[in-house]
Amino acid sequence: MRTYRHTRTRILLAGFSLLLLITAMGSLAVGTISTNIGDVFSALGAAMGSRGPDSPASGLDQIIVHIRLPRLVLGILVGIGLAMSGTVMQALFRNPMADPGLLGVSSGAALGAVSVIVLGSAIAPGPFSVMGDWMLPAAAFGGSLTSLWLVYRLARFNFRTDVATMLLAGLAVNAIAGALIGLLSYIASDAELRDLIFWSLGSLEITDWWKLSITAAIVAPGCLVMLRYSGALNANLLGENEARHLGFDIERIRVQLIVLVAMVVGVLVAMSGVIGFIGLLVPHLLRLVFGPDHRLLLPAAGLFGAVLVIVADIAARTTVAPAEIPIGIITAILGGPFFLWLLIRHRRRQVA
Amino acid sequence: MFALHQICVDAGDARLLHDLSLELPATRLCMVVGPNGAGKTTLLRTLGGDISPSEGTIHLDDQPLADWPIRDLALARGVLPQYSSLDFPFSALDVVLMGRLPHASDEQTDREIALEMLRLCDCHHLTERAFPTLSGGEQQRVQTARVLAQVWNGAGSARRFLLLDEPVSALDLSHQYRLLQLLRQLTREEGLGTVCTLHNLNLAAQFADRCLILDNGRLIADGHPSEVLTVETLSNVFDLDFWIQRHPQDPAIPLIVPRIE
Repeated sequence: MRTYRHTRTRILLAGFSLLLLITAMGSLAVGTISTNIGDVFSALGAAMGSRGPDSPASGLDQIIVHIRLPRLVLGILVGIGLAMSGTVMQALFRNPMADPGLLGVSSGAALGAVSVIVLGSAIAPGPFSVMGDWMLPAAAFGGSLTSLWLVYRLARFNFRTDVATMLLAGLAVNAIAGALIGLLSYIASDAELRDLIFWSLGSLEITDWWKLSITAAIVAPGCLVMLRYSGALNANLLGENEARHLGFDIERIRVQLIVLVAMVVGVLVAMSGVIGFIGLLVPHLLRLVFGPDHRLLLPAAGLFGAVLVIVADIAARTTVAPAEIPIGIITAILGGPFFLWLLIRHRRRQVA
Repeated sequence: MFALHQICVDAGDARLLHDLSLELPATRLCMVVGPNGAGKTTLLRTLGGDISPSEGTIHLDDQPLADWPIRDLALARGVLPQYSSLDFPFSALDVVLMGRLPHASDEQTDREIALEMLRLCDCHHLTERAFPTLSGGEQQRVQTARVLAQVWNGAGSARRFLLLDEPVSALDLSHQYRLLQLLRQLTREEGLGTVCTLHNLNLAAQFADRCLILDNGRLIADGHPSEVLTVETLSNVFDLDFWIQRHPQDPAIPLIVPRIE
């Protein structure tokens, strides 16, 4: 009984980590060119310079290490980042329907990224070429921070956020960002236009380890810092005043969390486009099974979010192979009906 | 000790509290009564730091309230708001355990204290129930247990305050009496300073060490219930006639009966 809660949390998190590891290995093995787990291990071994004498050098190694591995790493970062951001937003808004996609945070980030792509080289060619790799995530961060702050201010009323007001505020921000992206698409060149479509549908395609390092350098510490707020998020669910009475400087914590979420969502959208519903789906499913305590929910959401994104990506790559469905479409096919179910459930509860 | 000096609280053009000066020592159960809109909740929220006075000063233990670190305040003061919503399915025990968040005590101690507080508030049978599925009165008792867990320190050394805004508003008759008995006992044994708003004058008469009567944001009377709960004061404040009789249990306690024509 003594450390019952800790033990349970640890066992569950270990289970989720194992699940993530298995899914990750599966994701490296599955693809247009079929490989088995042995190939995966030998390719990973080769990449780390510990090749066994009997393993042949092959194009397979190239595919696994240079195409599938960066994609897997980005998928894990996207899953962890979006699921944890969604969890934090739901606790911050005290509202189980909050999600970076639904509330326009992702489209704000996309608008920032698209603006840089279309206008960047025209307006400021100097800085754009010098810090090109950083401009994109920085602009996306600016976009996500602006829209998150806007929705938060619009939706918050009387120390709580009403579901309808919040979703409508998100709808408005989504509409504005969508319209501006549409406007930018008129002045975009053909190549830029392909980028815009990529942004609106989401993709984990990445081969550039430098870009991947930038993403990891922001998402990993961002999510680790989020974990430190578990207690404050639990208290915030009781109410903002209640959280302050329990010793949390909730005004400051709110600003810190909004910046963290905007940073993580911003860089992820800059690298992988808009991948929706992960932040809504994952915390909901986990809360139904394991309860709302953020000390378990937050890390579990990160791990399970990564699993879900990897599985969605496997589906995206294999359903119409050798072609590929954008992963954002897969998550929307899963998440859309789920969102409708949540809305119906929410309405029933209000009537009852 | 809470010391309020010439406090005024404004909301827009409305003045909610007028020039209020008070000293609230520990080990006293102080009850605040008055009609709707008298400023009872405003007084409690001012003591709780949710609203800042536009004029005057508040000190807690000789230090201005605003200078207290938030963390230290959480150890010195527990606040039960009149109404709070929690839509997330925490168990009753989880909710009470949140009262232990400011404390550095270990998990086992926290759990024991939380279970003890649930028992004191007659909620031990609700321990594993999801909070949103509880009735209004049960939710109020669980929230009260949470605030008690927050100010509990067992040793009874440091001075702590308990601010409760209408803690019996949703409770049945038996739980109203049980809770006030518990508050009186904890106030004395734990050395708490308890400030509690209330609508039931007879409960105030029976349990309070001290009774404040507010009307229109002004302090009308302040003293032992038997001194301040008089026909004259009450009929002025509540715009209603009263009989005041002797309580069958203790003649010193006034028994207040409204007189309806």
